[in-house]
Amino acid sequence: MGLRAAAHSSSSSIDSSNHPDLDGLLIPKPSGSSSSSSLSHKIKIFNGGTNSRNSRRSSHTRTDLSTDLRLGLSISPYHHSDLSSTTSSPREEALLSWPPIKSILRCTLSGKAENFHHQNSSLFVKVYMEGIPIGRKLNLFAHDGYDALITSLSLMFKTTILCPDNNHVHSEKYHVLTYEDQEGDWMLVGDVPWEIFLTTVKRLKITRADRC
Amino acid sequence: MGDDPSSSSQMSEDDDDRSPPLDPSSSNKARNCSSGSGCDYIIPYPDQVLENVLENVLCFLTARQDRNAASLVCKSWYRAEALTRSGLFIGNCYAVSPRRATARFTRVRAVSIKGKPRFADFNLMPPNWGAHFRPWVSAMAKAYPWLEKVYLKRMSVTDDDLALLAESFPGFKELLLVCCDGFGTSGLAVVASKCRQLKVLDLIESEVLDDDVDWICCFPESLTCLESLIFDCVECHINFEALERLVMRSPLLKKLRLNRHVSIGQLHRLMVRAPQLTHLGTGSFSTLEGNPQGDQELDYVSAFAACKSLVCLSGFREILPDQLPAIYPVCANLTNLNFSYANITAEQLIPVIRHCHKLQIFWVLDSVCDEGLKAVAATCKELRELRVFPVNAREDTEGPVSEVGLQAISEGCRKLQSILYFCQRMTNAAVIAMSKNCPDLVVFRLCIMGRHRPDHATGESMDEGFGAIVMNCKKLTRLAVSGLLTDQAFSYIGQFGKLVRTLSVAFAGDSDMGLKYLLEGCPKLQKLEIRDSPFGDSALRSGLHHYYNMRFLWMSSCLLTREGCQDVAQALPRLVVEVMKSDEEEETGEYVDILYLYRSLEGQRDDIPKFVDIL
Repeated sequence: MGLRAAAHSSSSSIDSSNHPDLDGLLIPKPSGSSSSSSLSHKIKIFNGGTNSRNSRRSSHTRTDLSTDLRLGLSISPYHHSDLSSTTSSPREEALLSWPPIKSILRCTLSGKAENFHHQNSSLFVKVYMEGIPIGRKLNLFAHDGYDALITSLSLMFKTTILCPDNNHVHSEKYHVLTYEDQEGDWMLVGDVPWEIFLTTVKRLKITRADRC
Repeated sequence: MGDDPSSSSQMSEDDDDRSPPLDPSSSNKARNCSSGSGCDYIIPYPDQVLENVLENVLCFLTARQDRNAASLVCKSWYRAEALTRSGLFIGNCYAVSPRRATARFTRVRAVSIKGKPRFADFNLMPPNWGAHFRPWVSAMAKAYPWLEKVYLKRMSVTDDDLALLAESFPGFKELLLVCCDGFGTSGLAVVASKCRQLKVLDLIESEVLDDDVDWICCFPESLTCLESLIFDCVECHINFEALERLVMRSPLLKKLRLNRHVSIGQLHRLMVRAPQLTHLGTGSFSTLEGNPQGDQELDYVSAFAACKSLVCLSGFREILPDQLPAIYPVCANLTNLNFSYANITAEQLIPVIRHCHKLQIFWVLDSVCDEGLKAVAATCKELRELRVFPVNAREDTEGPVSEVGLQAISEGCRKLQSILYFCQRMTNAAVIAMSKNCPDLVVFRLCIMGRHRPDHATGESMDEGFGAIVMNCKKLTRLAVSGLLTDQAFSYIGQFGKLVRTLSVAFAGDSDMGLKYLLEGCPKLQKLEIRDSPFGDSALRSGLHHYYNMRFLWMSSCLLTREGCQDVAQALPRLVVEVMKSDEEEETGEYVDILYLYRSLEGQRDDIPKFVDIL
């Protein structure tokens, strides 16, 4: 298939061919939502609560807004200009209309997919610590959020890694966690919601706090 | 184009399988003879006795193709047929107006109307395109007081339309809404309360707005005539106690399909009340919030065992796989099993499917993997229809089902007639094997989800596989192609697909030749939907001889220019050529976003939205 430019906005659908490591594809949630609850809990919310009290929907929609975003579907699928991809033409972006599955079915089944695949698959990424040539590997799917990840890494590398929400301390004693994203840039871990992070992270690096 | 549009060949607009237009001179000859001029002997005008006899005989003709043929014999037969046709089928709601249809057929009891093109289901078209039920129900309210049945597919139906329907037809018995939208629980409530003779209320894959109206309560308090109540697509909560009481006072109920807001415990209560059911949609098949513990303890096996007539099982929307063994007692009798919402593994499927020897129709998710399909192939020797849906509807390199599953099915289910198969990878070998092992195939729809994906094993295109299907499956009428395909594939279809009526093409072909092969080669082609393929104006023009014989042509994201479409519109006056923007905001580029053309007796429709242009 060949890689195509990833669409990074949280409202766009993700083409899994950009994320060869991802098996059970995780779908981004809108920023601001909690990252720590387990996916099965989220699925329960999706299935149980959101549908029942919808008032007049347009004939063409699925359920409520947050569900749409969570599933990576934009609200008006034929508004190609909403998708923030840099290079793709409108025709390539029409992923919502392919494969030919009806919207209702796609929503329902995606919900099941999240639940199903997440329990069974893994995402191992390389982790290096600055100054140490031999790296480690870590399963990101085995963690349910940034806190768990930091804890794991701190234990693995026997250092203190500052949490994303702490004030940055510029010191060579502490470390911070950075990651390489799909575009090859090195970013500080913790700015985006956990689910989005999982879809963009390629590998991790623990760097000294005075470098950032 | 030489045809007089009002000649008898055009009058049967509701015909599906129309033969090419009659030579106008031959039909005129028939009329001349019957009116007694221009022939060797005078034939008297058919007397009334003869017409009465004809009417009585024509009552026995039910198939609409036969009726259409009969109506073309001569004027007298045309009149008699029109008076005796009780089932009216409108394949495209814009091909003929309600006024014209009700004027010709005056004694109709059952109406079927189809609206939007199928590709509208996949977000290829902005909403509110049309296909409104309103003009039809208004016309029928006046013309058909004895109307009993309405079947609508992909139509926009409002609550007011349903209210008008409920009020206008005192003998109304059957309402079937498939892939419809625009109405809500209020509309259902009116139908439930006013249609006292209602036998069938089937809502299938329709979007129903939640107006907070308890429509289940609106059924009559006395014993009802209900035989079929299908509402598994309705996303609103329902009043379960009212439903239970309804089931109890519906002794004729045979088909009941619940929505996912019905828990397994509630299902149990209903099954106990209605052991006579033949078709059951099990709802969530899970414990919902409320009574999880209690639900787990009920004896589901006995409940299923008591339903001795059950032949069709569906639902399982939130399935608790542990409860699946409850259905074992009915498996041996099942002819139709729909697991397309049940995310189960091969291990969970196998103990069930092992018992399903009589199964003819099976819908399932690809979560069962090739392993699960092998088990189906091993047991279900009577299988006629298989649909395998993807849990993850996206493009990926690997998937749970593949050519292995298809091959196994082809070897085990020799009587297969219809298949819909979503997968990530496929080989020509497996498709060729199916073409040889399953000669009875009428419907072959293969969706390789990766666009332009070649044969997984050889790296070649999928031309040979689909070529084998059209060559070997002599009864094939419906085909959907996918994967990497060159013009050669279309050459095969044009050469061998002589019975193909419905064809779906996406991301395929190299040049205009591809489409030309189809339009020049397939005489029975009725419905052609194409997207994202490199076919241009020259190819479009090559179908001019055939478009009057088709129900529609859809082409989106191809290489058609507005001028090219204009040429077709000018050449064929009885064709409606709609050109649409897929995004209302965006400027029109060099190529037309969507072309949708169809034959029509009415010309331009009067309800076009802003994003549609009729040329």
